[in-house]
Amino acid sequence: MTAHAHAAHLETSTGLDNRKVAIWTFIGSECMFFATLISNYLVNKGKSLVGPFPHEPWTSPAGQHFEPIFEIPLVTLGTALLLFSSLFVVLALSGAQRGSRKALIGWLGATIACGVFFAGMQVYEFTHFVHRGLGFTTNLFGSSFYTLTGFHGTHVAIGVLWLATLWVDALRGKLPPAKSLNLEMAALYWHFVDVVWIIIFPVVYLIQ
Amino acid sequence: MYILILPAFGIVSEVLPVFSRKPLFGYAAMVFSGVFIAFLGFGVWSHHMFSTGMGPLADTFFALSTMLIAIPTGVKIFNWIGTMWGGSLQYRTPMLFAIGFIAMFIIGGLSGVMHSSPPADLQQTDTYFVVAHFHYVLFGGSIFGLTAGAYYWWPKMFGRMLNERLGQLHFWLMLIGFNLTFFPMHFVGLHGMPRRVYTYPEGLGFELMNQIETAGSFVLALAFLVFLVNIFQTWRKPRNAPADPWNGATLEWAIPSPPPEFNFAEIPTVHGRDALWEQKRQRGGPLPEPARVSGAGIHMPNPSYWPLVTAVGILAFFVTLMMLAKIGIWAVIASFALLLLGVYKWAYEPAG
Repeated sequence: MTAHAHAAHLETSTGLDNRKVAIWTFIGSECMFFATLISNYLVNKGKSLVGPFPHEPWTSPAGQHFEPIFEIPLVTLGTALLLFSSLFVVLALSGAQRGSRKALIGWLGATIACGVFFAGMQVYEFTHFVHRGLGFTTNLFGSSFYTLTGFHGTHVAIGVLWLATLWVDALRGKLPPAKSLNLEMAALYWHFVDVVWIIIFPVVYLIQ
Repeated sequence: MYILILPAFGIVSEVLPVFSRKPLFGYAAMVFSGVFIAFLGFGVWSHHMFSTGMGPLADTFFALSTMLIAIPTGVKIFNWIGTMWGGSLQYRTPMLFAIGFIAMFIIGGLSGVMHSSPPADLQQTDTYFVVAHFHYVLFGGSIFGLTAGAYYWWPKMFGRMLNERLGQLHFWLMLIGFNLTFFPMHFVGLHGMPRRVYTYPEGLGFELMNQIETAGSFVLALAFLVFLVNIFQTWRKPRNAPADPWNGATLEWAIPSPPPEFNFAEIPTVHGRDALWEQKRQRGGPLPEPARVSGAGIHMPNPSYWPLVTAVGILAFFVTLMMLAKIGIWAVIASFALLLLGVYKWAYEPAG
């Protein structure tokens, strides 16, 4: 992703850098991907034959009692931090473009911290749900929930890895304003991951 | 599945105009229907699962999207026929395969529309009728199209023309063998012969059709043997293919066969579609054979192994993940490390 590796870019007829067109195209295909998973969740919503269920308690025929599975406050905190990280990455990009190393390293670090918290929250959440009896193959809810949120979590984890790589670049002084497009592409991906969560959060957690 | 047919659509759209001596009919409609198919192609996949009980909502959605995708596909078929209409057709091997593609793909497309209705599909699913359908689109469609492309671009890729006589033999054996093998499957399928079962009881009336299919499959194998012989013979001939053996319309025929690694020593200025035909028309005749120029001074990107390492890493990661229970977590971690190594080395590689 270093700019010197792509120093000889041709002028394009759109006037857009081809790397930027590439990341937008990639995001376009990601939209299709998440649209499929969200549709899958909605189509199978409320069709689970056995519990545990997301919003209602359930007692199995054997008499075992299951509480509703979701814990909204923790996810809300994760959501809020993820949304703030979108702001932080904009501030980091602004720092990178102005050549302010301090702003770049600070805000990018804050973005990464939020991402790490969100990913960690999800690991905790998944572990907790499994302990409470919701496995990947327990019911339709489990399968569609883990597939959708798990793929989103994977995207967050890859985003953290990508941003952390650029953060190390910045620390080593290898992210000058001339190369700020490297961060801009990662930021576009990060915003996308956030926007998808803005849809997933109400669809999965809030709508009963 | 549409990802498999779109390249063949593109190949046929290149081959047909050249051997009809006419520009592609309805170019813009062709492009937009291609884009539309690529887009809709994301939203049809559950038509493979109508019999699994997805429920009326999903059944309806995927039935509608599947019926809808027949429209741009039909636009393409009519435009290909329109391209040939009134042209001076030259029945060289690539053209034969392209025409074979259209005919076979129409049959596969028609049975495809029959499957798009869930109630009809419930009758046909898991029978040989489905096997017939998907061979008409994948073999009659994709493979015929790819073979047309192979004969068409072989001189450009390798500098040697494939033998025309063997090519014609290949085409007719393939067309006959293909239809003998797969057409009777429509009948045995509708008579109720299930797929994925290698045998059937005597006296159900399947014998004759299945014997024809078996014979047809040998003809089909023979067709590919002819192709292999053609490739082998061609390999031993000198590299003397001209730059423009087919009187081509597009710019790849303006450079020597095989092309130098930098392709164009000077980036050509394009003023319209079918740019090479336009150049020939302005000159009033064929262009002179392009000279092989030295590539000295032309900047080429450094060759790199890291994309390959990345690709191998991705494959290894998902294969080991699937075999997690058998081979353990360390194999997964090792292949993920290989994937990361490839990505980072690729990203940070200095390019010359």
